[in-house]
Amino acid sequence: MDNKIKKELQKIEIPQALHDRTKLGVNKAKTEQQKRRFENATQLNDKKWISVASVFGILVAIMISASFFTTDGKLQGANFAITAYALSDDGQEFHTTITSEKATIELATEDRIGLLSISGSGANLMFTDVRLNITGEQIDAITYTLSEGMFIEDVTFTSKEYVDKEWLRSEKINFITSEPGSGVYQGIKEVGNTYTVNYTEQEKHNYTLAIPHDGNEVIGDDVIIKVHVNYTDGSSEQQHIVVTQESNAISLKLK
Amino acid sequence: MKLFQQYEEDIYRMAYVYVKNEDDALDIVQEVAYQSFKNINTLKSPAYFKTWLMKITMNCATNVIRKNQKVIHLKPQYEEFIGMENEDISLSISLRTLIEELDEDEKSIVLLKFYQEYTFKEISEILEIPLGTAKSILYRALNKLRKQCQEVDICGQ
Repeated sequence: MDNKIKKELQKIEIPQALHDRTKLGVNKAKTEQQKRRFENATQLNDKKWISVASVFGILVAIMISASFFTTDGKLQGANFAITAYALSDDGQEFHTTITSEKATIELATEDRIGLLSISGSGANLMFTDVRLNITGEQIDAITYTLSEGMFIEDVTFTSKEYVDKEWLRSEKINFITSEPGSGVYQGIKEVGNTYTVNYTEQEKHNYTLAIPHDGNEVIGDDVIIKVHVNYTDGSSEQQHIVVTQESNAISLKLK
Repeated sequence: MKLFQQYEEDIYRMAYVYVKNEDDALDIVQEVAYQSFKNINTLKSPAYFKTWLMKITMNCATNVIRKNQKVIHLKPQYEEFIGMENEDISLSISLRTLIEELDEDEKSIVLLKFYQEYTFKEISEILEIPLGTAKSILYRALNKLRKQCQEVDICGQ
């Protein structure tokens, strides 16, 4: 009877959407988790990395002028649109299309508690939860390149992986936190200053911006994000986003 | 994520037994993924991760059932099983029996005992019920399944 029950249950067909639904759930939790962690953290670590806890509102809404768009909503001058995603103060995700009009996103600067650096390329990065997404037709792949700073990813791993320092180094995972006794660890993975993603797999890459900062809210130089799009017919286009640091915010606009 | 993915198929199948349809079962998988990552800090030990996931799965499934009880289905779910010509008859009857004939508490114990292969002690801890209660519910469930099997004369012992 017992073997039969197990066999029968294993014959329940697994839908293709299963994996994607798992990801949706995990991503939702991650987004909220990131927000909570930023809010709760209180102490800056000795390397003086600064985390930007949450994006809690667009200060200056983009004035989307009709002149920037064709009648079907595409950006003039390029065949793809860039959307920035961030979190509102209550943890809800909001998004805005980047145009040549400045969009300012207010940031709450908080620090992380109990951080441990395994490796790391240096100090003075400001973590934001701003990520980018491209929409357009016949797009094959997108390459993002930051002039300064890096893209990062929040990752979760087990205690078994945690003790494998070689793995942590090879994965470039830093600033590890863990709730005592949970056996589950969270860290920040350095993706680098450039990465390429297939158009259809953008949702799988929750890479956010970490930009240079001197630790004292002093405004640094503008950061340029080059967005290079390859189309399926072999052609390509690119647009540049200017990221400007303000006292407690960053603004994004097309160059 | 990788840790969770090891169990996502188990979670889906368990959910399916409760809710009897793919859409709700997928909703449950998504909700379990969300709840487990959100509350990962409440997990006392990594050794209990699977058990913890199963418990969340059953809670989510029960919530969906309660919610759905307020909804009138235009088409009975069991028609899915009757209408499939090429389906293995033993699979059809056994799954249908499990899904349609057992109560929620019986499903929980059958799934934990035979699908996840937990001991009675573990089951009683997961479901927070006395050991004796777990045994008696399983006994009742197995009697139902055996009765159905005997009626169609297909179940080997």
